[in-house]
Amino acid sequence: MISKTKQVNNTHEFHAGEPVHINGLNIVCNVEKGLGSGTQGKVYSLISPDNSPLVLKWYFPSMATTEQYDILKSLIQKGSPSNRFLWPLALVNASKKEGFGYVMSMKDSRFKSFSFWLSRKVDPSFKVLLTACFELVQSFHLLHSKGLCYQDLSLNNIYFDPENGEIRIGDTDNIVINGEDKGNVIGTPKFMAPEIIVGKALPNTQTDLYSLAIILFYILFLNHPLEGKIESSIKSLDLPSMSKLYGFEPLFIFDPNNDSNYPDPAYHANALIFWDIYPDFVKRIFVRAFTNGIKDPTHGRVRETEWQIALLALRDSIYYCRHCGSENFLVTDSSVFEKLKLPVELGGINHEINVPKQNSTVERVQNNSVCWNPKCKTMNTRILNIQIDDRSYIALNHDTKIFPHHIDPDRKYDFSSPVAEVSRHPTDPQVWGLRNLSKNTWKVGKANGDAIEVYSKQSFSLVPDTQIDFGSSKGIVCY
Amino acid sequence: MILLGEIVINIIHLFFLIFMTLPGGEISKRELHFIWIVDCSGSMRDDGKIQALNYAIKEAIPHMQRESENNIQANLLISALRFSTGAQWIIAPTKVNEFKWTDIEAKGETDLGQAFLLLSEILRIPPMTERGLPPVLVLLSDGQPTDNFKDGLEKLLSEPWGRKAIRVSIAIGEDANMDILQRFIGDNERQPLLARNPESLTKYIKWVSTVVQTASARPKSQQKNYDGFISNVDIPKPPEMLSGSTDVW
Ligand SMILES: Nc1ncnc2c1ncn2[C@@H]1O[C@H](COP(=O)(O)OP(=O)(O)OP(=O)(O)O)[C@@H](O)[C@H]1O
Ligand SMILES: [Mg+2]
Ligand SMILES: [Zn+2]
Repeated sequence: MISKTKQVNNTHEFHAGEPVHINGLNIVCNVEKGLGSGTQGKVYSLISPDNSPLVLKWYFPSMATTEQYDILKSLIQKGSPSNRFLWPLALVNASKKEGFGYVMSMKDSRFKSFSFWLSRKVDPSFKVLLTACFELVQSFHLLHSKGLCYQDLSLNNIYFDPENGEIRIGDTDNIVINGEDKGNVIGTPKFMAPEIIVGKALPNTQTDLYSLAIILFYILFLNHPLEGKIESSIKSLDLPSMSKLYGFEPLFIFDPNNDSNYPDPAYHANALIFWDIYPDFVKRIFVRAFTNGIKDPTHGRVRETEWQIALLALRDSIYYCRHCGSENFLVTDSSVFEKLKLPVELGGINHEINVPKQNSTVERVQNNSVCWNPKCKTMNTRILNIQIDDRSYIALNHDTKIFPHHIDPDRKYDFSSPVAEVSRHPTDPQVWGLRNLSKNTWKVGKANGDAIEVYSKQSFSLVPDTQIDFGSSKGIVCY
Repeated sequence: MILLGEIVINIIHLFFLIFMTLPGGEISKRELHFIWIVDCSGSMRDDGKIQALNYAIKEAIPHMQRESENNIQANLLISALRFSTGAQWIIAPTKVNEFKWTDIEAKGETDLGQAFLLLSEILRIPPMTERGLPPVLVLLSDGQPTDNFKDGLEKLLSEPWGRKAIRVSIAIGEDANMDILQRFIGDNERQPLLARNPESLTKYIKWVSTVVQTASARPKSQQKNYDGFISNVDIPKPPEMLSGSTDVW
């Protein structure tokens, strides 16, 4: 018999306004509203005394295990590796509720799931995507270097700001000490390392590295690295066929020795389009990640530090096509670069004379310099950039900033505040310069041989062959 | 100062053009059919069961739409099939964000076998796509089939897509034949869900329309007891049974 629906008094759910005592933080909050639920529990936003944005995750009774409780306790004790993680801050028990929960910071609404990018509902730039990728790699490097392992790395748990690439990592309650067989998840199907799928391993930092490579490929190529012709020949992608595709017989779509899983242009056009755009060093690192990285889980995987170098080099190589403004990548192969740089004569620029056509390497550069935008295809041959100590190049665009990372070998990955930026001459908009944003004085050797000093806040004109002594390294303006 | 405008041409314009869209398009998705199979026999009129069902499905639609937004794998298509005296399609495959539920009425027999036959006709290629995910079939029933359901079920399971489908059944009230609902699901691990009251019906319907949808489409975190060799798709646990409610069917 149905009578009027009455309020169900659930012993593991909260209603709006209900107080939540957070002893670990010494505060009492009130539940604002439910934000959503997953496989493990339900998440609520909280109203806190000082208005700090907090959320409560309360486990479903079947998920509220002592093991989970212990994991949380140790995560809270360890503290968050960085503010990129939505880390447990305090455990919560409530006398009238079954199970337990924890509080963490709220993920701001500017952070969007990467699925928005894969569905093209947001429109980030390459620079933003590469920043997000770099932040991901950096965050997981930090996590792993603390001996911790994420276990369930997938696109479902990471978020980015499409305006600037800042990231947030959620679902941190499965993080455990590497090697301790703790936690009850083994991963998310398309992101799990093959050795987990075939039952030879449980999640560990090496399998995290594999999942990370999958994520990077998804973000940069909008395609799964193992979804090529073999995938499109499967009519119904069920679990047995997924186990085969991603676990028992994984084959990279761009495997240089086996093209039987090459992208199917009907379904994997993205992979083909982006593969053509990125420079070779990017392709090489992904080939390694999905050939050796699959064959040899222990030694073959690309390390986070390697990803960091590659992703930052790629971001530094972005230049805007002079015709359409699309972001293209400057090829920074140094032997090629020598050839391009040497013959530049100010005032007498002539592509035909200076770039020997018969040289195959240079030929390739020219190909790569054709803007990828199908409506544009402009040849961009001379791209202003700065070479630093023979080890890195930074394309110089109107919005380029140079950081300690670039010029100080002791401050790698320091992007806290810029030391230089491209600036426009105050009275002559045709003249562009590099402004000194650091406290140090630069010694600048002009192309004509003159030596000048550039103090903090001053700029010098960007003329090819100008040499800059930053103190910790030397740069030369190339063109 | 020698400085040719030519030299720095790649940096001097384009303040207005740098927001160029990147190449390529949306990631390619697979078709996912989600099919409601609804018992509209006369007994569904008792105790407002059919109203509760209409309500629960309508309630689940926005959640279903939101869940599919984060879906990088599937284009979700929803359809509905009704059985009472005979069986009919009442909603053709519709995109999830255009899906609307029109209230259905209850009268007649319980021709479940007819429903299975009708289903088996579409669970093949074509009309199914060459590039799909295992369909999700959700059977809602409160009673005993009045026709020969066995032949229908056999026919359904003889279609590869019928076999591969994720089959879920919800019993509406204690009178439902749990054995038949179990035979529809097939495996012994998963059981029919028994909705004893409108709240649990709403809850189960929301669960199938979100969690089960994603089991086929957006792979979720898998628990350690995962076994890729037994079932087609790993389905997360149903929501906890409600306690403390007295309104039962
Ligand atoms: N810190 C947070 N701030 C805002 N929203 C959050 C936060 N953490 C989780 N959520 C939201 O709550 C919902 C459930 O969270 P979460 O995915 O972490 O749960 P879960 O049970 O671990 O799920 P699963 O492991 O299956 O992905 C998600 O939709 C997520 O967007
Ligand atoms: Mg989780
Ligand atoms: Zn262009």
